[in-house]
Amino acid sequence: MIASAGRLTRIAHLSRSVRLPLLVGLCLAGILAAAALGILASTPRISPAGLWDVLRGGGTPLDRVLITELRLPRFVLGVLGGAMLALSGALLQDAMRNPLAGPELLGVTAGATIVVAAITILHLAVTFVLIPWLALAGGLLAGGLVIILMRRTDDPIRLVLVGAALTALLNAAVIVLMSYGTQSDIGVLFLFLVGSLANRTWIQVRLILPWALVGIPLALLTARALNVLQLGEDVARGLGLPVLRVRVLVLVLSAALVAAVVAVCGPISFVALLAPHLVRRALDTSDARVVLPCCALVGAALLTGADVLARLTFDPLELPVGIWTTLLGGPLLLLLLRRQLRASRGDA
Amino acid sequence: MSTSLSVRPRTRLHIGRMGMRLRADLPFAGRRFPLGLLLGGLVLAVLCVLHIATGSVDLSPGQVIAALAGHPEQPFHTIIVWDLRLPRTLIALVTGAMFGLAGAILQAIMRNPLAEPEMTGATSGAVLAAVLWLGQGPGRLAEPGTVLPLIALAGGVAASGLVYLLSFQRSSLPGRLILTGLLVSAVLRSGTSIVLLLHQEALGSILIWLIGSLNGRVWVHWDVLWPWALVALPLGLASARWANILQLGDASATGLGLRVPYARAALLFIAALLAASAVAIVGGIAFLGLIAPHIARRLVGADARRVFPMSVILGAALLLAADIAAQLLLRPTTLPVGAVLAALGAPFFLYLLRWRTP
Amino acid sequence: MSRSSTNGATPAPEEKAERPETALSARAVSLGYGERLVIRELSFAVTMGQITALVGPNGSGKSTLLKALARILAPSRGAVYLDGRAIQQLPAREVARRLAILPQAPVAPEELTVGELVEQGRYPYTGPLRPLGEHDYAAIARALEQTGATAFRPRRLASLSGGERQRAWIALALAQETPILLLDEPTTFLDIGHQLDVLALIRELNRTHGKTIVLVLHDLNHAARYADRMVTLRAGQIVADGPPQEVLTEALLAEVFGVRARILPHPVDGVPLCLPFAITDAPREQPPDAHTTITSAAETAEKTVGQRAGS
Repeated sequence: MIASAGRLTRIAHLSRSVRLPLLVGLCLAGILAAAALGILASTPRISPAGLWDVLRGGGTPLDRVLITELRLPRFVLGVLGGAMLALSGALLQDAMRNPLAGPELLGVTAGATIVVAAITILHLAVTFVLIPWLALAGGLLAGGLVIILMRRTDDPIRLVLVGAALTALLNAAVIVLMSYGTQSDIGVLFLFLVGSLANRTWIQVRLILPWALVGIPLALLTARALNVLQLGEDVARGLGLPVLRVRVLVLVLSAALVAAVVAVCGPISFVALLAPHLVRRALDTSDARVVLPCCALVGAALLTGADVLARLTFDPLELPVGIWTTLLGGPLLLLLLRRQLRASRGDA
Repeated sequence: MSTSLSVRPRTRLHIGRMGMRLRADLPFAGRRFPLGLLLGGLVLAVLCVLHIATGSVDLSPGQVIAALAGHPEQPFHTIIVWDLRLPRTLIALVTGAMFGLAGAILQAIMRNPLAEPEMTGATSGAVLAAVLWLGQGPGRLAEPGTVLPLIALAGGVAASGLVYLLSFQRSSLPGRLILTGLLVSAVLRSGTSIVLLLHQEALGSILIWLIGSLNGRVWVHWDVLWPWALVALPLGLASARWANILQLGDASATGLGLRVPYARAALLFIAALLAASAVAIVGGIAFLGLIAPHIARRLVGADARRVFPMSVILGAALLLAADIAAQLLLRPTTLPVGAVLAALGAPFFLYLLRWRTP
Repeated sequence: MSRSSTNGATPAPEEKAERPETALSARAVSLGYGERLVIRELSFAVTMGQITALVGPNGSGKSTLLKALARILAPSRGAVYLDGRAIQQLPAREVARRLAILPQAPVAPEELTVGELVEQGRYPYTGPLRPLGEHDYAAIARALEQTGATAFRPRRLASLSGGERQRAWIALALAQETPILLLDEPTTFLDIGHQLDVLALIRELNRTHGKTIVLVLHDLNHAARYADRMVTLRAGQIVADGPPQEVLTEALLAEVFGVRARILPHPVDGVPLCLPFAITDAPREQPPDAHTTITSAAETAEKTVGQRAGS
């Protein structure tokens, strides 16, 4: 009995050292593929030769504009946004020790969204640069409310329900706001509300860049604290971790990551929820020092992949990326959680 | 021989404020329940009259009653009351009741006081089906005929069936059901978004319908609604027996002789029926299914045979009150009633925050 | 009822062949969750009129066996028989009139009163056209009286102490008026005073009212004191079965629980008392599917979701 268990361990160990490079490799390959497809395959097509020309500084003016002004920034946005979303989800899940915690389920996304929606519809005179900050405030308020409501229970389902109720509330408010806008306003806002990377240029990238440059490293730095938090609040405190402070910091960081993405792309769901689960399942570990960077990679791969789908599946019609992440991410998450939710009536 | 044990004096376990609060008697529990029903009925009657009285032309309650009785003060009162206001009131009454009951059923079988009809996927399914159909022409919203509710109903029931199947594994546990419902609803909602994107000209009217509105509901809509209500409401009320047993947990319910998977599936179907047919007429009103049963339980206790009827009354009352507010708040424009209800959600959250956090 | 020889039971003494006719039994039952089997090819017959305790280490299958007997779980192989017929084939309410269950850590809505709870115990006897009648109310009152819970009748469950709440749930099972009671760890979350309360109640239900009781217990000394028959399980098999004096031996404790103990007669009434003092030197056998790697937090979180989702 012990011998066979030992054998199992050895097998798990073996493949574990293989899994990490495998995952990283897959993600990078995915990202590159998405880049290639995104830049080359959308209408109008660009040939690889044309791309090569542009990279060397030449190429036709059309190609040059398409690549440098539209497709490249869009790709970069996908990478950054995906990484930020995934990190946000991983941070929340670890800090709240709740596999169902995710900015979209906690109401953080909805809070950020309604702020941006209000600014857009009501044509509020807000400096462009300020928008993510306001979105952050909205997201924090909403997420904070949910967390306060949940402060004494760990129940994942309860968390999800409270978050869902709050999100429904905020969504209804957004719809009411929309009904006061003009027809064109509604169209634009609706597109935003679904979550899209369309027509994003370097302007948006410049907006999100500082948030990414600060947020992503900060998130990675919290890994050690997250590892300790996973042991439970009491144990963590016993080990000297200032639990409340860390939790608040992580929440703010997570909301900041999401808010920046929402301000630029609208609410894109399920990347934040899904990436951490995928990573943990694939690597069979929850060591945050490994999981967090991989989450960033996986998130980038997911979002850029979804964007390619958005652009290419019904070419030339584009279905916004937010729809794809939900359509594919929802069932995928369900599948992943099914096995976990198969009740561990494990006590004999 | 004494068959009872001596009761040791034990200090009672206080669960914070909750323990003390729960020891206070509930207002309409036990024998006072019929009184509660009566009071509820009276409140409903008053709200109905007030609702009929509200509108772009102000009527006094007396004028309303006169018109209803057939002796209108002025001839045009009859038209206003009978052709315009009454159907809206009746629809509000009945759909509010249906949402309330659906929520009560779901909270019982999910064993979670935060469950609401959205969790079954019924609402999003009905909305998607309806939007698919509505998107084919902006005029369809005004003339639903018998087709729209059927389509919405089919969509809602199909969606909740899907949710149930997906979460079914030997026995479906409530938590799994909730999660599956939420995820399926999200997917369905994005489906709705796709349709809306493809039919942008219908966007404005459909959007309002998404959060629910009673605007423009006339007799045509009532004609479609009442048969479903006639079937679903009594079914729902009768399911209280099973709901009571299910509330005790799967193990105890099995022990008491209930076939748990079937009972749960049946109740889910009834709740989906209630929610979907109501959605088909007034759109995706949220929160009613959450708030009404919650308040009902605070008034009459946890016995489903009392909670269900009280949820019916409260649901109807809430929707009527919300619609009155929707028409009065920003005169002369009418807010969509779903927005007003959503606004109710905010203080409800505060209430949850203050009194119900364990 | 002969037991198959494949269940690894200790050699049966002569008296077992003369055991009285049993109404509830499991025959060659195998049961598991997913791919792993928790009990395998297990046969077990409940002795009517006695208190039987199921004991064993974690993961041994005792709760699983009880749930199989209660038809909460369906075996993948073999079957449970009630009065000679397969229990899964019988109408649910008919079974509910013969068996009542007290599950582990039962849950109920907070606002439910004790009276409302116990009333549900009449469900197997009532129907949409058959509301509660005099006999039903009498049964409810009797159940409350037997458990000493009559005074709590109007109180909400959530406002009671652990022991009082447990008695309310026992009253629910009693209101079903069944000859057989199955109790899953009825004392595990109670303090010692409440534990003895509940156990004494169980004994009274057996001695005075003739109820057949099968209960899962963690505490061996409780089992030794209150049970007529102790059935010890390990890794899904019955390894010992008989009166406590015979079953509770130092050899059993060493082999099944991995514990070195002294068994002494209780100074007050001579009941066997088990006094562990060390773990055995031999490596303790793990349940078949134990991971020897460190449980990752994700696994814990997954289990939490599973447990919470299984409220």
